[in-house]
Amino acid sequence: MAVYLTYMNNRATNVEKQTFPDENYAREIMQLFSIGLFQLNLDGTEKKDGAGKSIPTYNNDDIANLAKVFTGLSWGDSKYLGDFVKDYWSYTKKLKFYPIDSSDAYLRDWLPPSSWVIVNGHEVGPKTFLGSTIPTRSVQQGELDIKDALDILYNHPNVGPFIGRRLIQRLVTSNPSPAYIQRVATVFNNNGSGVRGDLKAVVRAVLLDPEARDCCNNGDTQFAGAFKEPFIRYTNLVKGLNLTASGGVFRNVMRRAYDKMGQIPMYSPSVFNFFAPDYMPDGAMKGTGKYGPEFQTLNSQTLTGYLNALNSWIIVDDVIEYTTYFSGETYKPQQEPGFILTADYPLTRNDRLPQLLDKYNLILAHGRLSQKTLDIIKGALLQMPISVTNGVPNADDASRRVRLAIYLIMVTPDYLINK
Amino acid sequence: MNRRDFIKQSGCAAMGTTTLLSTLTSLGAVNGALGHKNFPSKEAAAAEDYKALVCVLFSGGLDSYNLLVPTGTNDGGDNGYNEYANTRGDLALTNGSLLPLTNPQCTGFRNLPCNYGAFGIHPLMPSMRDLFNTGKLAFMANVGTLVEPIMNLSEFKSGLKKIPDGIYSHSDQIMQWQTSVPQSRRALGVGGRIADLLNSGNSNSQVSMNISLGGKNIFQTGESVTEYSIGNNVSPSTVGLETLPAWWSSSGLMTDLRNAAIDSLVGQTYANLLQQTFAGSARSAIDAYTFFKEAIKKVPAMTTQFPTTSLGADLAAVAKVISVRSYLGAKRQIFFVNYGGWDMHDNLAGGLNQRLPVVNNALKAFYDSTVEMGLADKITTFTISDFGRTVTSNGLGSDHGWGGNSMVIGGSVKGGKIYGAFPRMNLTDNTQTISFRGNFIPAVSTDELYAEMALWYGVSPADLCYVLPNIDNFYSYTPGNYPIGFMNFNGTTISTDNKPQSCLTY
Repeated sequence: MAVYLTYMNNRATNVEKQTFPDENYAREIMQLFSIGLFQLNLDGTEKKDGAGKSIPTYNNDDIANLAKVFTGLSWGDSKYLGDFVKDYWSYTKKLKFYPIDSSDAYLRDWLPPSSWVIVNGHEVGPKTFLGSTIPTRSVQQGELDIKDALDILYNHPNVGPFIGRRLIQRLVTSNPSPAYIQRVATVFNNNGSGVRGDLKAVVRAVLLDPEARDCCNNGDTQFAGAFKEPFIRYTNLVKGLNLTASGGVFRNVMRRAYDKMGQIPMYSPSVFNFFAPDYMPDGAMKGTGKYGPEFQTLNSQTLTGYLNALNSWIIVDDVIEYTTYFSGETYKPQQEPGFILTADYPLTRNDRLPQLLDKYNLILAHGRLSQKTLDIIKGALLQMPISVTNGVPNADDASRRVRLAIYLIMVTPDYLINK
Repeated sequence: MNRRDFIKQSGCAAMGTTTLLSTLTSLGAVNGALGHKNFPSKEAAAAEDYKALVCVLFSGGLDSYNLLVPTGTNDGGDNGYNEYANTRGDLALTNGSLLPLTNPQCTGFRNLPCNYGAFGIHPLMPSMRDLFNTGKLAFMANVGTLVEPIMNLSEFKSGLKKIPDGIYSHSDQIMQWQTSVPQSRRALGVGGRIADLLNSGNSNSQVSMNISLGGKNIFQTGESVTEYSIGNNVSPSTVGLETLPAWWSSSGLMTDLRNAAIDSLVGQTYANLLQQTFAGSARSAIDAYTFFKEAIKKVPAMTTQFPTTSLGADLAAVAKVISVRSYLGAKRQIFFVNYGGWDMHDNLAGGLNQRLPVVNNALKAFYDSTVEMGLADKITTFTISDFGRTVTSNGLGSDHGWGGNSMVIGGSVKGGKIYGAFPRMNLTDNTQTISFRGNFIPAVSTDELYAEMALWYGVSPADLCYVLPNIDNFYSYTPGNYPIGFMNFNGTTISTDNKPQSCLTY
């Protein structure tokens, strides 16, 4: 994070050099990771001022002050503030706090010590943000500023509804009711035993809420559910069909997932992720004021791209990509997993297709496929050749029916909207 | 129901509800009849009623105060470079490395002075320097998001002026640059609203006026029009759905069967609007690609060589799509390209050295391709970004600012000139900066930038308030009086077509 949001080797204000603490992390830890841009009620709605305008949680002075807190940190195995990364293992080590910036002693070690410019690495002095003030303390004690700052953020009343809404959106539905958010935020604020921020209790509250358990979102079927983000569909397929590799080794660069669907883990285009919690899609939901965050990943290109990726994964059985993940390693056939679907072959006979579809309806869509959807898929499968000998379907024919069945299920809006 | 009845019924249903995936052959016949294989002659292109806007977004917030830099060293009182270098500290480029702009005629804007007379651009932008010096590129100095003019710090602090929401916030500012409605988080995009007005002038309804190389974006989202997203590999074989494997028996027939099933699945009406949203997107994507795929079979060979960078490939794709505009039935097109990675809180010098050459080479190639197609004066390219950045350093990097500098390129641009008002680099007594870090109140609004191009593109003055809901705060049309003056309107007839859309207010 220190590299990603650039507080690694961040230094105190230097008036002479006209440099100031980096504001990147100070801004994003508030905007994206804890409290958001506007003051919230417990139910996640925005508080309004007398003129009906939303009330910002912070201004640029808050940012500049919080930026001063995140100064004086460098790599855990560094020698001085400003030192470079040593190797990959540096990323695994806790950051080291440098109250004093003695980099000159290392970078100009040929000069007499009297000519080194030794300054504070961490910024001293009081730091006021979000209406709280971190007290003045010695520069040697400066690391405590960070603890104080995180405590101030953590105790901000926005955190419960802010985090609560995001967790509900990821785990249950794009459009939780304010009451649902309030129930979750209340648990965040107090798990029932006086503990704030018990995330286990929060997740339990998210998943066991009546609005999550009721199939139809309190009768609000029109906006129930959430669009499955692209990579989740891929993991649905891989986990649901129990992808197997004879060698027990799975390696995957997942390049196709990215090229076709625009999403793989760890490759979000910015700290704002692949989609925003407040994204409102075009089309049928336009003008309703409802959100569909994951729809931000959907466009004409990623839509056909997803179908083509499915074609590779399930139809062609080319499920993973193992190319040049580690240099010098050669391709090992036993590390190429595939879907073993032979157990389903008996279900590909015309008379047993309903069972085949039931099975994958359950596994992939937890039973959400409508009868009409099932009929369309069955109608397509029935038109595929199947030759049956002594009650046993031909393996090629059977494999193709199973694979197209799964492909079509994963194309349906019934599957794609998780409810 | 026995099996045969079922097949009959579902077969009929498929035929009745869906023609999307089966229109390929008929389209091929229609387009085949149109004939010509290569570019129309330059004379024909010159006479053609065609215009395109190409929006290049530098997402992340380009530090454009290291793109356009004052170079004066106390010549005739212009001490721009020294003020710049003092303020930027370890971020300052050396004066000798800057590529000088010939007589940039920076005269100021809305009673704000330009402050300096001599300017250069980043050393790795030689082609942009050349385009500027040959009059094909103009700079907008200190342009940004505004609801109404704010002339100085005291007006900013007065509480009497409307201030954009979320100044300095990436998500807000990148959105407001695309909507030009800084007081709302619910606004449509500028390109989308233009297309709402003018889309009916294009003869096809399958492929949008707005084509995106950057996926979903707000800029191209209108009330009735949204973007058509394409990949930068513009080749018929990469567009649309892959067929089932050739080793499947009756592969072609099975593919048809699969496609018919997809059509039926996404052709249903869904009570749940999330499902309906996906189904609708799928239908229009399928509808569009069958048409688009046929059109791009006609892309001619070009001599312009594009770089292989992502921006180069994206702009090459734009050129290819433009080359088949007649097959797409398009008289007006708006393109959107995103080239990100500009949020340089650290390693600014190295970051710019890496990315600006990509920009330089790609924009140059794209301009050359418009010349090759005989369309240079019909295509206007402009750059936008989240915001400018602090002119002071955070130690080899810069933080989020507000107003910044943009480029506009094309044969109809009155280039070779810096429009707007470059802010004073000396922050002491600077009435444009709103913080000690050097964040400038924009001198020019995005409204004025877009209004000028919208009028050129064919939006009538009466409809400007639909495209730009705040425009009345900045500009009202009278013949011969343009918002900024950077477009050449010779040969352009200002539209008098007042569309039914009424002014938007937020």
